[in-house]
Amino acid sequence: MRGVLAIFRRELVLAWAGGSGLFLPAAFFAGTIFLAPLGVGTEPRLLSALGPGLIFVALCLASLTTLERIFQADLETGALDHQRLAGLSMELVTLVKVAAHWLVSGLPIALLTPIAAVMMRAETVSAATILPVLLGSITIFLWGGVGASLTAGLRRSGPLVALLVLPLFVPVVIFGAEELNHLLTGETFGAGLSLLAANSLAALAISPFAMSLALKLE
Amino acid sequence: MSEDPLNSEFALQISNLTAVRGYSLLFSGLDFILSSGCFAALKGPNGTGKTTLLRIIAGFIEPETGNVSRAEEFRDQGPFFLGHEHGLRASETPLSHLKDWADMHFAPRDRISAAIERVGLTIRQNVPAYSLSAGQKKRVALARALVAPRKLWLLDEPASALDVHGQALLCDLMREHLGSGGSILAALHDPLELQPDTILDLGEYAK
Repeated sequence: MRGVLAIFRRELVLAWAGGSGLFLPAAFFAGTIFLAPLGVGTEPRLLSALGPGLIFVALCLASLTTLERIFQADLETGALDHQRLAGLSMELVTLVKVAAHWLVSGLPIALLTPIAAVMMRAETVSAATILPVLLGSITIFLWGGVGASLTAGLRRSGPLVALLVLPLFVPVVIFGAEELNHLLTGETFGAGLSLLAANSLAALAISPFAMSLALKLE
Repeated sequence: MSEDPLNSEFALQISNLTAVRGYSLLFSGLDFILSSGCFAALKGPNGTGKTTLLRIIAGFIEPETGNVSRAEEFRDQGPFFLGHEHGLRASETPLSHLKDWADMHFAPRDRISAAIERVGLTIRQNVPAYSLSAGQKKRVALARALVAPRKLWLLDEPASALDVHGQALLCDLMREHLGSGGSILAALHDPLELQPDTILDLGEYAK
C-alpha cells in the first residue's frame, strides 16, 4: 500500500509541478460553456434545454485535452518499468495514476457544473447538480485511461485516443444529460443516477485490467 | 541440466533462450549461468540483442523459447535495472525521486541522504531533472541501488554519460555489491576498470 500511495503522491506532485496542463481541462470546459450562449443566442428556454447535453459534451471533450499524458511520460522515461520491477500490481498503479489525473482534471470540472448550469439559464441549481457530472467524469476518465494506455507508445496520440474512447462515452452522455436535466428542472434524482453509478462501477472493475495489459504490451 | 535451479550457488540460469525483434532473429540457443557474487559482461555488436536479453531477464519481454530462472533468494525481489532511460520525470528532483523510490520498494528512507552524498549530488539534490546533466541523472539512477538494495543488478551500458569520477564510483559500487554476494550482468561496449568474471558474447549466438 505504501508503494501505491507513493505513486499517487508522486503523480499529484508532478501534476502540480507540471504547471500549465493542470487546469487545462477545467478551463476548456468553462470556455466551451461560455461560448455556447454567444453561438446559440441568449434565449433562456433554448439555453436551458441545451444546457445538460452541452455540459456533458463539454465534459467529454475537455477530458480529452490531457488524457494522452497519463502514461506517456512514465513510459518514455522508463519509470513504468521500475514500477513493475518494484513488484507493484500494475492494475493498482494504473488505477492510482488515473485517480490522480481525475483529481486534478476531472474533479474541478464537476465542481464547475453549478456555475455552468447558471450560465445555461437552468431553473433550479443546487449542490446536487454536481453529482451526475461527478459520476460521469469518473467513468470518462477511467475509459480515457484505457485509451491513453493503448496509445502511450505513440507520438501525438491525442486524436487517436479521442477516436478510441468516444464510443465508450456514449452511455455517460445519454444518462448523464438525462439526469442533469431532471435535476435542473427541479425534479429529484431519477434512474439515470443509478445507471451512471453502475456505469462508473463497471469502468472501475474493467479498466485497471485493460490498462495494465495494454501497458505490458507497449 | 544437472544443476538444481534452487541451488543458491548461482543467481541466474538461462537455458535455450531465443529472442526475436520484429521479424528478425536476434539470438538463439543461448545457455548461460551467472553465479552469485559474479560479474558477467554482456558483449556483442550493435543490434545483437543485449538490451533485449536484459529486458527478458527483467521479465518485461517474453522470450520466444527457453526460460530464465532465478535462484530463490533472487526471486522474491525484482532485479535492479539500470537502462538507457533514466526514469526521471522532468520536474522530479533527486531527493523527491529517491524518497518515492524508497516508498515504492518498501525500503527505509534513512538511507537516502547517504546515497545522495555517495553519488555526489548533495548540493544538487533539490534541482529538478530538467536542469540535471545526463551524467547526473545516471548518478541518481545509481543511488537507487543504495536506497533499495537488490541482489541482481542488470546494467545496460552503465558507464555511458558518466565522467571519469562517475565511472570510478560505478566500479566501486559494483565491487561492493559483488563483495556482499550480489551478482551483476552488464551490457558493455568499453571495458570498465573492473574486470568481469565471465564474458557472454551475444555475437556468437546470432544466427
